[in-house]
Formats: sequence, structure tokens, C-alpha cells
Amino acid sequence: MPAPDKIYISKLQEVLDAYDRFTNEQGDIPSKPFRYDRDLFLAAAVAGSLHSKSEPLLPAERKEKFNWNTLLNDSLALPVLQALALLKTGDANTLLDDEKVVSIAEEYANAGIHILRQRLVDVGEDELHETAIYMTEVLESVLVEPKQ
Amino acid sequence: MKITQIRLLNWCQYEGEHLFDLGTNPDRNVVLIHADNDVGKSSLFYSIAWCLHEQQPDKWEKNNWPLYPLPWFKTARRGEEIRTEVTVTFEHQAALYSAQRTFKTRKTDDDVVRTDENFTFLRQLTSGNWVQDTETRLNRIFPKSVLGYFIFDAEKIEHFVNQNENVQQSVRRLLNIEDAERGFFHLEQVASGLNKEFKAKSNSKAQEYKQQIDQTQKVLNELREELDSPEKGYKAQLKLSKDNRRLIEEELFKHKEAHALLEEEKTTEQAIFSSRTAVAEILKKIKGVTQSLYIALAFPLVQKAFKVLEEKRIRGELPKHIKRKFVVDRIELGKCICGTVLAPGTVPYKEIASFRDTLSDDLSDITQNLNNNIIQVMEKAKSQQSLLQAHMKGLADLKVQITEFSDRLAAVRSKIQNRHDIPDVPQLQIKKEALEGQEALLIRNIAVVETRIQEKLKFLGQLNELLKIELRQQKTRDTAEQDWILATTAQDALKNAIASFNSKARKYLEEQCNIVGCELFWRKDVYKIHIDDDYVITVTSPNTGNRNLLAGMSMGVTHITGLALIAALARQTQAQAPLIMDTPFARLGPAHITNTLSECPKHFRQWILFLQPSEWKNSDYRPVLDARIQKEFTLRRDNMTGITTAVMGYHPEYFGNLRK
Repeated sequence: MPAPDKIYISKLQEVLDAYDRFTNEQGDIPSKPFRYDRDLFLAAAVAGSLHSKSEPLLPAERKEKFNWNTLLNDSLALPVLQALALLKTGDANTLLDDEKVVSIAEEYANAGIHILRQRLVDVGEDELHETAIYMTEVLESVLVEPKQ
Repeated sequence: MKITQIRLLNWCQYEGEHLFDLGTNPDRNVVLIHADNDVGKSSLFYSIAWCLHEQQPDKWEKNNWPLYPLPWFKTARRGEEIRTEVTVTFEHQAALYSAQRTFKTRKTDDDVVRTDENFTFLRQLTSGNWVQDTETRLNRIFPKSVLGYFIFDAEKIEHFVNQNENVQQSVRRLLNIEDAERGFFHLEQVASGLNKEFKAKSNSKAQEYKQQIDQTQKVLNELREELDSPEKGYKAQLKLSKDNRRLIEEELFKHKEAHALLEEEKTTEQAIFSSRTAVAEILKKIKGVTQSLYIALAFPLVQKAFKVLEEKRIRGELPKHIKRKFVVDRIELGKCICGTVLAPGTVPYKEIASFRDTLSDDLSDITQNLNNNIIQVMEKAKSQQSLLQAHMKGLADLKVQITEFSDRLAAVRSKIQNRHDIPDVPQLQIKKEALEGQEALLIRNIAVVETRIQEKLKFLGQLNELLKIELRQQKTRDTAEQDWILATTAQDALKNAIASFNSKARKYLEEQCNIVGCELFWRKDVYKIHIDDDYVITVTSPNTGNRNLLAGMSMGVTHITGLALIAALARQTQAQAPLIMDTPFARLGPAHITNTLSECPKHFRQWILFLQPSEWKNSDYRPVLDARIQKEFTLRRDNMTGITTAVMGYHPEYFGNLRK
């Protein structure tokens, strides 16, 4: 099967603003939680899946954000998206279709970005701090040692 | 000097041996030799000069006059030889000397060859034996230079008064002035040599070194001034700068506490800055974790996906993790890995063929990879937690620290603001630092100048060493210089002495000339002979003022003036030379001759006169001279043979024989 070429996001301004807000550093002291658009896209896709929210991304409403190869530069990015696709379809053969995997991820991310935007918005210091706190909470909740 | 004997052997007309014994009686000192013209008077006359100094009259040399006997030549055959000898024996200061000059003549076809020329000069010892003596002694007794004065053709006597350079030189020689002048020139040459020597040694090196030393010393003084000048010197500037800095430091010390507050403020500010830097670093690390937020969020999802895959495998919905090719190879082999034979048509064969058809390598791989990656995601999530906890704790600590530092800074600043005794410390500090910078510059300049001083001192030492060497050499130069001074002093002294002697000698000669002149001819004060510095003779008369009368005077007067000069020279130089005159009276009148015959013998140890018959009036003159005549000869020539012989005494009968 052919590999996907681009990764798309919604062209809604609030979505574009969110990407800018969470990645674009302004000074020497870090205040943004993500280095690349890819990192925010992955977090948004996972958040959408976690909250079982996805929004279809029609061709007219989407905007390419980064290349497929950029995604592959993170070795765990594709396996995580495959896991999301597997859970969504329940069919292991979905794993063989990268287009499908990406499409499912784009729909999750399209919904998940709003979840993150709301959660990670700067309420105290900055987005980096908020993200660190959120991430700490997430990890504490998911990595609880099983009770004996 | 008095000639006692002349011996001729084959000399000119005197073929064969001829002996002229001139006698030794000290009371009689006149020898008369009478001869007609062309008899051989001049040959005998010139034999003396030729024997003593090989001197011939100019006309002889010019015409290559034969000194051998012409009669012999006429009869001699080719290759025949003849020996010529002239021996002059004379007495001088009680010693007897003999000069002999010889040569041989060999006849060729139509000419002659002269060979075996020889000269001997002998001195007789008291024992009577003769010994060889030196020509030097002969030259001292009768120098060649005086020959012309004491052996001369009287016809040329006017040469003595018609001065020319030779005469002047000769007069100087007779007065020993020439020797003194030679000494003077020798000293001049010595002085010149010494001058060159010390000039060569006194090369300008020493002077040059002295100049270089002066220049170096000057530079050294300037450098020392630059370094040590109490007003502008680097050391003075450095001391001033240090003093000023010390004042500032004392000022700062007085406000030490206040200064400590400022220092604390600075330290706290630096600590806050460092903490903030650390915060930035830790935030970067936190961002390194948060950028993978999806891992943390995905943790429950991948756990679920892992389970789904497991269940699917359990349910057989996922292919076994066996490669299809492996199963195909076993079927073709006909034997299962467990050992069961797989024969076509058998149940095991059908079962394994069915299993082969369920296998998918792609799905198997992807699910296997997913499994593995899910495990990695879960592990990474766990590591993210520990990292994030550590970073967040570090961040919290730093924030606390920053807060503490900020509080401290605020407190310090509050204290600073509340104090009124703090001077303008930053300004003082700036001044202090400026002074420190200035001191560093001055110290560097001092080091540079001191290095240059050391270099100059070293160079000065080298120059002094070179100068010492030069000065040591100069000592030898000084010796040469002293010698030069001595030589030039002696030269000057000699020059003055010569000038003085010359003047005195000239004056004395002039006096003697006038005395002799009066004795010989004129009454006192009729004529006056003058000899100037160049020995030019002039004759004046009181009646005619300073006009030189010499040119207008008669030949006789001129002749007498010459005689007077010769006599004066003989008297002045005490030459003790004989006066030998050829045709002495040809140009004199009887009165002059009589005077001359009367006076001349008084002035010379020996007077030899070669007389022509025409100038000798025997009856008139003999009485004047008779008491002084020692020997008298008359020369005669044999008309047949052409040979001249001498006859003792006065024989006028032989005169005119030739004409006859």
C-alpha cells in the first residue's frame, strides 16, 4: 500500500493558533511544551482517542502541517497511531494500511486539539508548566502500581 | 792636503812611466809646471782630478778624448793591450795616502776597448807598509764636490762669480750646509714617517667609541630620567598612583560594612542569575519530556491495544509468529519439525497445508513490531514519570532558592538604601580600577625602560672595552707621536740652526772675500763684495751706491774676485786643499799677477800652477815667488814620437819647440 505523503490538520484559526501557541518559543527560557508540530499532533490524536472523540477532516477544511517522514522520525509515533487505529477498528489488518492509520489519527487529532487547548492553556505560569503538571497527573493516574 | 807625487803610466801623451815628485818641504808650497800649448800641460793637470774622482773636463767626455797614449795606438796591432795608471800620492794630517786609478786598453780593428778599470786607495802605516783605505776617507779629505774649486782652469774662474745653481750648491757644500740640509731633509722624512705612523694608529676609532659612549650615556641618562625623574619619571608616577589608590582603599576600608553590603548585593544578584540560568536549563529538560506528552496519554490505550492483540492471537485471529516460508519448506521436506511424516493425502499433511494458508508474514511482522513498540511506549512512559518528577522537584527547589535570594536581595537593598554613610563607592571603585590599570601600564613601562637601560649598560660596557683596547694601542701611537714631536722639533731646530749658520757663514764668507780681495788687489773700501742668501755675488763701490759693478768690471777684477772667493772658502772651510790652477794668469795684468803670487800662497797649503810661457815673466815674477817654490818642471814633447816628458826646473828653451 502507498505511504501517506502529508499530515493534515484543520485549517480553523483556533486550531492553527493552538499549534502556534504550544510550539512557538519567544525567548531563551522555554515556555512552550512542544518542540515540533508533530509532537502536538501526536498528543492531540492520543487525547482524542482517549476521550473517544474524533472529527472527520474534510479535504476542504484541512491544511497540511508536516510530512509523513517527519512523523517517522519519532520511532514510537507510528506504533502509537497504529494502536489507536487497532482500537478504533478492531481489525488487525488496519495495521497494514498507513493511510487508514493516518486518517484515523487526523480525525482524533482534529478533536483532541481542542481538548488539549482547553487543558493546557496557560492559567498559571505558562503552557510548559501546565503541560508538565498535566503530564504528571496523567502519568500518576496511568502508572499506578497494581494493588496486591 | 798636499800632493807629494804624481805618477803617470801610459797616460795620454805620457807613454811609459813618468814620475812628478812635488816635494814635502812644509815651508815651500808652490809648484810651477811650465809648458807650451799642446805639450801635455792640461793632460797632467786633469790627471789629478781623474785619479782622485774620475773627473774629466767636459770637452774630453764630449769628444771621447783618448786617455791612452795615441803614439801607442798608431803602432799597436789588433788585440794588443796597454795598461794605464795614474797615481797621486798626498800627505794629509801627517799621514801619507796614495790613490791609483787604472784601466787597460785593447786595440780592435779600428778602435779600442777599455777593460779592467780599477781604483785603489791606500794609506801608509807608520811601519811604512801600505794598507787599503776607503773612498769614504778620500771623500772626507778631498770631496769630489770641491774639485772644481781647487783644481780649475783659471780661464773659467769667472764662473765662480757669474753665479749659477751649481756654484751655489757647491758653496753650500763647501760650507757643510748641504750636509746640514740633508740632515734636515732626513729629519723631515723621519717626521713624515712618524706622522704617518701615528696618524695610522690614531685612527678615529677611539674618537668614534668616545662619541658612541657619549651618545649611549646620553640615551642612558634620558632613560634614567624617564624612569627616575622625581616629577615625571615612571617610578614617581607609579608611587603617586599607588598612593592615590591607597587613599581610595583606605576610604573604602572606612566604609567596609557598607562595602560588604554592596558586595552581598552583588553576590546575591549573581546567585539569582545563576539560579535563573539553572531554571532555564531545567525547563529545557522538562520540555524534553513534555514534547512526548502523547506517550503518557497513550499509555492506557497501548495497554488496551496490547490486550486486543493478545486476545486476537489467542483466538487465532492473528497469524502465528511463524514464517510462511518455514512451513512451506517443511512440507516440501515431508517431515514436520516434531518428527511427523508429512505425506501427501495424510491428515497431518492436510492440517499443515491448512495452517500454511493462514500464515501472513506482513501482518505477523507488523503485529509483532506493534507489540514490541507498545512495550517500549509503556517503558518510556514510566521513565518520563521519574524524569518529570525529578525535574519538577529541581524546578520547585530552584524557585524556592530564587525566592530566598530575591528576599535577601530585597533586604540588602533595603539596608543600602537606608544607609547615609556610604560614599560614592562605585565611583571610588572605578577610580581604584583606573589607578590599578595605570599602575599596570607604568610597571610595564618601567620594565621596558629597565630592559633598555640594561641593554645600554651592556653596550656601554662593550664600548668601554673597545675603547680600552684602542687606548692601549694609542700608547704606542703616543710614542710615535712623541718621536714625531722630537723629530719635528729637531727638524725646526736644525732648520733654524742651518738658517743661522747659513747667515753667519755667508756673512763670514763675505767678510773673508773682502779681506782677501783687499789683499789681492784693491784698497780697502774701494770695492765691496756682497754675498746674498742664495750665494749670489755682487760687487759694489761706495762711489756708485748699490749698483752691481761686476758685469762692468774687467776680466782681471772678476778673476781676482773669484780667487778671493776661493781663498775665502779655503780659509773658512779650512779645506787644506791644494789650489791647482791651469793657466792662472792669462787674463791678469802684471800688477794683479804680482799681487796674486804674493798673497795666494798664504791661503793654500799647496799651490800648483800650470803656466804658459806667455803668462810667466820669469824675471818679474820669480823674485816674488822664489822663496816659496818647491818644485818646478818644464814639459817637452818629442816631435818624433809625440811622447811628452818632464824636465826638472825652468827651461824656456823648450818653448816654441813644437812650433819649430
